[in-house]
Amino acid sequence: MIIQRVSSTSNFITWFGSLLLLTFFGWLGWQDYQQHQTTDVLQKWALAFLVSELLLLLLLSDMQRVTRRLMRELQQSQELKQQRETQQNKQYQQALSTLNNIAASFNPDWREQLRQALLVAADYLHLPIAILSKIDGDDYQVIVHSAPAGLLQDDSHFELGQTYCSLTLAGNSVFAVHHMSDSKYASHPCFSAFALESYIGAAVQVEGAPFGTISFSSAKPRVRPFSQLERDFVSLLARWVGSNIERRRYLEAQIEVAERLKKISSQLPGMVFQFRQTADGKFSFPYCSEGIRTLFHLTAEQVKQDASPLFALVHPDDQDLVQQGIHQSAETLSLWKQDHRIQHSDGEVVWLAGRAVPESQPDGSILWHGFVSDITERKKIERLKDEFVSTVSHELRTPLTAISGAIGLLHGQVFGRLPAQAMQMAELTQANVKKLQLLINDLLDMDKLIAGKMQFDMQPQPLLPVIETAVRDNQSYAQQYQVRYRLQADATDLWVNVDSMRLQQVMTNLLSNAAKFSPAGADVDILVQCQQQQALVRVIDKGCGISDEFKKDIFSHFSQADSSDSKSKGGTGLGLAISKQLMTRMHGSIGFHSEVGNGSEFYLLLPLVSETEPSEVKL
Amino acid sequence: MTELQRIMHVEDDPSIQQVAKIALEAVGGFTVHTCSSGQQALDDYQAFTPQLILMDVMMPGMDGPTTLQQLQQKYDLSGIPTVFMTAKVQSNEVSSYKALGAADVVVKPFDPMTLSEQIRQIWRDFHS
Repeated sequence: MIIQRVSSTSNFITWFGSLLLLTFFGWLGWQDYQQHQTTDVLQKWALAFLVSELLLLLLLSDMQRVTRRLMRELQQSQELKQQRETQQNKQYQQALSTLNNIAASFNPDWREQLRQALLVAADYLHLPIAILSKIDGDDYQVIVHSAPAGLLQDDSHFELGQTYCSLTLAGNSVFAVHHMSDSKYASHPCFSAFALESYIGAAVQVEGAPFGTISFSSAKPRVRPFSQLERDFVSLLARWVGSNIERRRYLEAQIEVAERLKKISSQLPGMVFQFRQTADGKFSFPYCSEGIRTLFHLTAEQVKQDASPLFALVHPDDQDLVQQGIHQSAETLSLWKQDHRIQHSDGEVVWLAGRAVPESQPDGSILWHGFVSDITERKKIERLKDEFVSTVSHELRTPLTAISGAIGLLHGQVFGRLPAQAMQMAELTQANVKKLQLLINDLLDMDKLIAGKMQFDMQPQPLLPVIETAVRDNQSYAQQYQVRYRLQADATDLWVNVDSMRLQQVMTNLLSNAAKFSPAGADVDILVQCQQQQALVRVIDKGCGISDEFKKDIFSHFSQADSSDSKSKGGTGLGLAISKQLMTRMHGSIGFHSEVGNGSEFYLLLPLVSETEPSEVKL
Repeated sequence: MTELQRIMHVEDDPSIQQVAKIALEAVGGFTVHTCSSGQQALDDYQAFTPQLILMDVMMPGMDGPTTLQQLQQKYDLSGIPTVFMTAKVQSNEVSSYKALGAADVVVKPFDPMTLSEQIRQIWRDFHS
């Protein structure tokens, strides 16, 4: 193209030059002819024109020749460059495709996967010996290798100093020598030992720490030094190997955790599980431990996609309960905790205690993690215990009635005057019989409350008379401890819906506790107030107060701050637990404030009612 | 109103029988006839002709309410108050016993020194 343009330009110059010369010499000839008026002059100028034209043609033809040569050379060099680029591109593509093949390959056996990678890379680099090493101090261990048969073995050990890899590690980048005997490393012990002429290697990092090296070598020297591309290739491969080892370690750790979970969970006396509710309301158990066989006579596979086989076992009477429980847990994302029964096809009923924590998932489903265990035996024991408590309490009452009566008669001196000491003993016996009676009453109350068998005679009534009666009835008790009750009613016309006997029982408990734990001579204040549409009864003592560690247990069964308390202060430790239950059943509440050394305040809250509200008998 | 003198006590436990008998006789000055079962109460009723019956609720065999029912079927008890003795009771239980025909309820364990006065009060209330 350029040559054509050069040729047409020179043609143009030839014609244009010739025309110019012709015009110029024509004009000179014409001028000369007009002066001399002879044709000789014309001949002379014609000759001069011809010579000039010849010279012009010669000059132009030479220029054209030179230009053509230059252009050809340029073209050739361009073609050469293009060829080299194509070659290089091809090499890049080959390197990338090799790396890609390596990265995409997967073999469950990670050693084989790495061996395959080394083989592919060795092939690309034309270096037959490839090694992934682990370096620990001076020890060089071949982890995986790819080499002609018989040359090397996995897991063989060398001294690090005997390998070129010591140089790779020292350099902290890709180390490459294409002709060892011709390099400054010719005296390296590795060359003396193995006579490896060409070598390229890079350090492998795992989890940010040096792990070892990958290296490729050959006994033959290479003609040309290693290219930047080959260095980059080895560097990238080292990084891939490092991350591959990391991934394997992570995977192995996961497998180990899964195995551990499986082994441990198989030893659990129950079933650990994952339970899923999808956004469209389908249930499944993505994971169930082996316990599913024992508890439900099912396999994890049977409920993996659909939870129905397991739900079908839930006892008909507990179906609604379980469904509501799950629904509520899903709605509020709160702990699901439920005792329920299942029934097997042979009719056997098993009590289960289940609990699971829900988590909302990005796909809109809810996933629970939980545990369910067989509590049939516990339920049986609980029932036996309840029956035992109930029976024993009832059975104890008969002899207690006889003892109480007999002692009462002695103490009442029905059979004649008693000596002073005998009288004292009779009093002591009577007091202890009274304590036993109270203990049994507490046990029976608790028993009834737990079994839900206690009946309440709820009546709308004025609160103050109930409190006044309780204070009056406990006055003598307070006197034993030299304590005085001071009742102060800020609100006198509060009406509440309660069972007056039960409320008195609660008050008796609070009043006797306040007296028991007050110092001699102290006052116990009882305040009746109205607070935010509720009746508030406060019993405030100046006793020793309640320690922080005991506060959380104060309303639990058989709780007394110090087990020695029950000896010095009397009581079963059931009083507050019973009071709390009674208050709850009467739609009220009980609470306290206390500070060690500064006394305690126990308070009752009851909703106010109007005088006309109909009475309600709560079972 | 005649004065209360003869009380029939129906109770299966011998110790309580003794205590109640002494409490009512020695302290209250009553005459007490003790029956160990509901059946004995039915058998002895006519011979003793009590003015008041004090009866345990829970007894093996025939319990208090059944005994009362049978007595009512056999005899005219309109002038004979029956008092049940039972462990700590709730107010609605008292009314259910009263519905069965009991005049009142005495709570166990009872105070032997005040039992007689309690019975006398019930007697007075019954006749008032």
